[in-house]
Amino acid sequence: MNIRHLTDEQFSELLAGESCGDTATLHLESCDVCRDELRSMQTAVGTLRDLSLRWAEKRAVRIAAPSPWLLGWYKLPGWGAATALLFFGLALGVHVPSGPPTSVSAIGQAQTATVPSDDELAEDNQLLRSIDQELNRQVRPLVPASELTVSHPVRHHGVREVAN
Amino acid sequence: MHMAIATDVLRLGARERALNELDDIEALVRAHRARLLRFVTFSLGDEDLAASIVQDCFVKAWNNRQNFRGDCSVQTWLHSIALNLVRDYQRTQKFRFWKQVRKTATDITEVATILPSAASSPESQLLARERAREVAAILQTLSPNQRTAFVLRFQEEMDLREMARTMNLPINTVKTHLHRAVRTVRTRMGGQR
Repeated sequence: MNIRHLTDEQFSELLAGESCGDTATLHLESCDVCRDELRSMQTAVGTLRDLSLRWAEKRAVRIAAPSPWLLGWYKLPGWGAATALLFFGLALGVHVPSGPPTSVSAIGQAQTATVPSDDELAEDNQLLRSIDQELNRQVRPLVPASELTVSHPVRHHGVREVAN
Repeated sequence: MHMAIATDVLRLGARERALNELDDIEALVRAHRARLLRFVTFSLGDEDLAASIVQDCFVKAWNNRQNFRGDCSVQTWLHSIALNLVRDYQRTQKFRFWKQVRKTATDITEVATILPSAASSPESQLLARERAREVAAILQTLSPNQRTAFVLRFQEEMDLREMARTMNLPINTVKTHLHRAVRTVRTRMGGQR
């Protein structure tokens, strides 16, 4: 006997809890296979629906209402004006000089005053040399230089640039 | 004539109520975040990404609430915004790359193992959970449109008109996606075909 079981459309409607005509209903009453399949699928889909909603309710707690900034409150006139005022104030603060000098020559004097003298340069160089010597004394190679072998040519771009 | 006016009045009333609902962002988020998170997680298979998209969805909804026409429920409208964001994200190369390599993405089938089932006996609980896990695993193999149709119909319990509105597709196209999804799930679950 050729049995015509529920079509996907009929099955889908019944799975969603809707009626889909007398033919499908009559078939469902007489066909154990379709009835079992529908019941099994309803249980599976219903279980997944309930479990996934409970899962989502637990996980969704971390989703808070978006901040006012994200919601675009800056578009409102009051916020726009406040923001514009803030930026204007910041810009003004950057450009307002903090005090004298006020003339070009005074600015030049102020700049030359920060240039180190020859004596200061010599002191700095002496200090750097002493640090360099101290470091060279402290760092000893772990392997004797005679045991070191180089299998590939080594590039020294960085060193050469610094030396030049 | 009177009928048309009455329909318009009802629609205006519904829109007014919906706009009030949309104005209270705190309540809106509390009421819809779980369903949206579930929907987007099923769509993308990544809980963290889904949470971020749900957040974006609320921002977009709030900023565009004046465009809400009131011809569907707020839930349907929010789902349509979320689905557009999901589609935008799926189109990016970034998503394609990370979908392949990401190891920490949520396995949606794990959802079925997290909480105890409401079924009666331990055996039936186990069986129901196992079948639910099978369905969740099969959903991940469907095409995006088929998966969306199945989830909207059987998880979110929308009717075909709401699904068409959410997916921005004609009802007949939605039906086709849904029936193909049901066919695949039935076949893989060992049903009659």
